[in-house]
Amino acid sequence: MAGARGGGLIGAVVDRLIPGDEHWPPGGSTAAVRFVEQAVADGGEQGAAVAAVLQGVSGLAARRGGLFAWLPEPVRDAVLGDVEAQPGWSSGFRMLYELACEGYYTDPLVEAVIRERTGFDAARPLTGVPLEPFDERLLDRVRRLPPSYRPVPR
Amino acid sequence: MTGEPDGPRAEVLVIGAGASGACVAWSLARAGVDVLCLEQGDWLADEDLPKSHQDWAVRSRHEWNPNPALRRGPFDYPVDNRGGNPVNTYVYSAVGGSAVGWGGAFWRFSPSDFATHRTDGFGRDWPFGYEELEPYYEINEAQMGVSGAAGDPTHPCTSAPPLPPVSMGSMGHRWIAGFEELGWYWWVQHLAIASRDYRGRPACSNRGFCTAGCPTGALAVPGTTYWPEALAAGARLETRARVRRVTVDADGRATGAEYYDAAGELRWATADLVVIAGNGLGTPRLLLMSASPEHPGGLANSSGAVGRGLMIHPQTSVVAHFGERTDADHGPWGATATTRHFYETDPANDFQRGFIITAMRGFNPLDTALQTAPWGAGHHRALEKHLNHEAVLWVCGDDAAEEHNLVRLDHENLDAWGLPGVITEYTMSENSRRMMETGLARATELARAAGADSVRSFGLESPHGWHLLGTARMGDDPRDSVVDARNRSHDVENLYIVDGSTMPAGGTVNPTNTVQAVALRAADHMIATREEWSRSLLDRSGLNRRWRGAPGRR
Repeated sequence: MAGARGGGLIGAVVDRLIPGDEHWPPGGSTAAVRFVEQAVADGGEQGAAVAAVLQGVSGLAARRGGLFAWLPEPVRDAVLGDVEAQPGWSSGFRMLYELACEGYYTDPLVEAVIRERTGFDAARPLTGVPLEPFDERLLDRVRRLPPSYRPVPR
Repeated sequence: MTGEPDGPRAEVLVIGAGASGACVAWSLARAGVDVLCLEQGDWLADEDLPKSHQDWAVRSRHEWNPNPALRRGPFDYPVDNRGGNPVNTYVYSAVGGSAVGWGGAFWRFSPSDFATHRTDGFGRDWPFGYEELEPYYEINEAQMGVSGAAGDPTHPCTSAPPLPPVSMGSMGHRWIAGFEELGWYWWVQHLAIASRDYRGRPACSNRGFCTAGCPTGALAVPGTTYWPEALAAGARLETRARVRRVTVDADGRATGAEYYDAAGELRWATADLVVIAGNGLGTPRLLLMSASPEHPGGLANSSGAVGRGLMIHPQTSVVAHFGERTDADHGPWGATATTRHFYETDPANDFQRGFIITAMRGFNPLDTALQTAPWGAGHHRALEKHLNHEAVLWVCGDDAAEEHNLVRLDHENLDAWGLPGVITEYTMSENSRRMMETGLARATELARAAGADSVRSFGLESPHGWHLLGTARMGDDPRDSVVDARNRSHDVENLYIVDGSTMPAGGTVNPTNTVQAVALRAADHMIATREEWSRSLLDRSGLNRRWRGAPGRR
């Protein structure tokens, strides 16, 4: 599936954090981009850390030849790996990844793929599903066991 | 603040509207006592619950995060967790307290939990035994609407819970097959979840992920069980009321509490009796904040035990992986079954006391991705391997109160009203570490018996802090405990503490049922001794000459 490589730095980064394949959409074409953009726009501790990471990505990409989005995929992955490994950026990189996942896994487009590929139906936690009542005959063996709790001296 | 009271007056002031405060307010109001409760949080509407929204998994990580240090909600105080094993503290500030985002596990303590020192020289004994609490367990289980089954040979209780067990689903049956394969004791999970329509609450519809809130109301929370009846009986509940200290008079009697109301105004609520129900963090915080020249170490703290002896139940989890799908998208999350096979001290072990293993369900897509999937090319492969192919075995053990595990004030990090936060310090004992290592091994054994092909573990470094206990402990000796066997302060005769902080030993199972049973028992004592402490009652009966004097504060 095509991603959002032309859609700016955040889209290009998210495309490599959560790449697409024949089943899954790339992160850059999902709500993952909006989640990251919103966090950066909101500022605060998280937004500042993520913004610093994105700035770091741009800087390292420039040293490797240009805009991050225009670099070959292996080079982009190497840039992200270098950023992740930097002690000053590692926690911000984790925040960036978590934001991307939050947006990705709540995108209805992705939820449909989740249902298809894993059987997990995101609608069920919101609507429920009928289940058979518990059959208490399953307890029969245990019921016949001797008491096992400990007597307490007075 | 000096001078005349400028806030509400009540016969009893309860501070905290959580699981225990709700029980006390309910019990007292039904006995005709004039009760006012101050709660720092607010009522929760359906739209406040993550599970009312499509993005519930995201909300559960932010505004609904159980850890106040991560949630940073408007009603929270700062919590900084330190020590060798910093506790991942889980508390909520709302009507219902921490029992708003929970799984509903609802066991009774075993008789040995009340006498661990007598039986094993481990921890501290309760000043009373299981039999004393049994009638209050019965009341509480009826009020909360507990589902389960009678006849568990690992517990002396013979009465049936008011409701039959909740549904198991395929994962429950898989776990049962594992228990049966190993020949262990196990029992169907007792849950404060309605398996059938019960007292206005609908039967569980198996949406799962209960800790993200239950919009249907099948999961029992104090706001839908105790509080409606307490309010109908005349109790008053003031929310968004942040108490900054309990006040005492020249005779050392509690006179009420100063608090910031919803508008931010400082007020003084007065009462004949004060009850603190603030949980294992909030209660020691309030007592320590109530220090005065007469009580320099904090109120009710002549023993020095306030804040000391924090117990958390050493807890960790094994996540079992199965080749088949695990139906992680439905069924009460805290069900299905628990084993007490390893509950009691076994001389063959290299540790004292024991643990339970509770068989649960799998994670949602977001949490599965964050736990298992790397960024980059392997992301989807990892997710597809783990999502809906896992289920959790939660291991929870007994914990001895150790003085170096504590809660203290944090004057560097203040809440929105300028009041101090708290610091927790917790380092797991060698006994707990050995116990948990064995627990992880046993849980792995169960996972394999149930058909798992591999397991991963949450480890022990930052234990779950769902159960925060023991920081204002109960005991007969005022030199070594904060409250007596009736939950009354040794130092301040008209001050009660009724939450989990009073537990001298934390047992091995989820404590909410016991916390509430203890609170109901304490409330009965308040009612039985009402003539001794109630100025209001004496005023009405013309016997106010027995009252010791008008309140004034120190």
